[in-house]
Amino acid sequence: MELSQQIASPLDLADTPLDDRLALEAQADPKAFAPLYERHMLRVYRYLRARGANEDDAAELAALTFERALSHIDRYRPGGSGFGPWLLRIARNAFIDAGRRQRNRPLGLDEVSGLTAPGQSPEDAAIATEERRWILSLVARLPDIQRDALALRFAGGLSSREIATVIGKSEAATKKLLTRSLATLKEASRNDA
Amino acid sequence: MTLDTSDSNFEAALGRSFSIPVPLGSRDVIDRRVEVAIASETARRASRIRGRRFPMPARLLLGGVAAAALLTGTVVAGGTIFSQLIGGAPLMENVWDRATEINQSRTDAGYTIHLERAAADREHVWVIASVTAASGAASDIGRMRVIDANGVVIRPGTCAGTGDVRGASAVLCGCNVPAGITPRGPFTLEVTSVTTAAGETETPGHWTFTFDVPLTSPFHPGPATATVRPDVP
Repeated sequence: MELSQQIASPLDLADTPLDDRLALEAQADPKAFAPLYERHMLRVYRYLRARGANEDDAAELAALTFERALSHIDRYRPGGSGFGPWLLRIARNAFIDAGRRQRNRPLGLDEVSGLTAPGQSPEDAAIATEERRWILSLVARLPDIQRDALALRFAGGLSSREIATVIGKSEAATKKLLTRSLATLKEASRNDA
Repeated sequence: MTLDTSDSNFEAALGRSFSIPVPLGSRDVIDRRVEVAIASETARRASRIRGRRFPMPARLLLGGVAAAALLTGTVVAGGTIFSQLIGGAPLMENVWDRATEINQSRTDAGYTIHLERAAADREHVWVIASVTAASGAASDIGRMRVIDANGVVIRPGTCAGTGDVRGASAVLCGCNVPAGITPRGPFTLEVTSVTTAAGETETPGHWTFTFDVPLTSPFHPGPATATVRPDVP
């Protein structure tokens, strides 16, 4: 099964040359880090929420991610796998570190109702909330590695190749992991319908 | 509930489900932390450019201090590692004598960090800590930072050095307060890794200390007998 390309980079952030240029500028002048933060804040926050951090924890971990990224910006090497994967690897490590201190839980279904998009009608919002609640309940049943891969893909907006660099697997193994995760999820949705 | 499980529709639904907005309050928190981090990093680099107070690599510096102390016989029998190390270094002694005794220990990942003393002025928060490995290996503090009561991140910049004495090690570090900010206690010291004394391996962990110290007049290198002036306004 081929994963559809339209979701490969849902945040439309796969502008590696621009990120690399901004990162080089930030290595010379920390003030130049601001545009990198603006470009990637949403994907980092969404990834952390998708992994199970609550609002407060996600804000703390997102802030920590960017603090660490800035303090280690000299270690970023342009021309590699890209700034987005590098940043999400930091976020992932921060989440794992935090998980050692306190057990994280899947995104709570009680928190889902407030997650409406601006401008949505009440009816659309209710449908979207119901759909989100249902899908997230299915995702929550997946093994951690599958949840992580899906969060990197659909919340972090990474491609299979980029996810591979974050989780330390080959691109082929990552594609299989994503395919298996989606197949499991679809099967669960059919059984749950 | 039913869902179209064709590939594209299913993935689109997943994308929608993970399109989680950032609440304004959370956004403000993250923005502020990143702004402070940028200001801190800018100030840290500026201070580095202006010239390090302690130009020698930290480990070499205090290692030298320890050696000098041993050679000149100024190491006092008994007491903590720091009382021995600092005793042989007038520059360190100036900070040591005016710092507040904290005396807290935290253990994680097989390492115990002992926060001996701390001090703060408008330019720095000084922390004096030692590391002891359960394995007995000589170790140093790796990554650390101080956060003040307002959430300002104060990063280490002017480390006075580390040294190894009888299998333990210690560090005296001046964390740079970002320009234009007055640090306020209570402070939190977060250590997130320790390294072997040679620095070749780094072990992550969490050692967190909370302490409060008065804001004193600036610390400057000077004779050990420097008079402690009252707090600056």
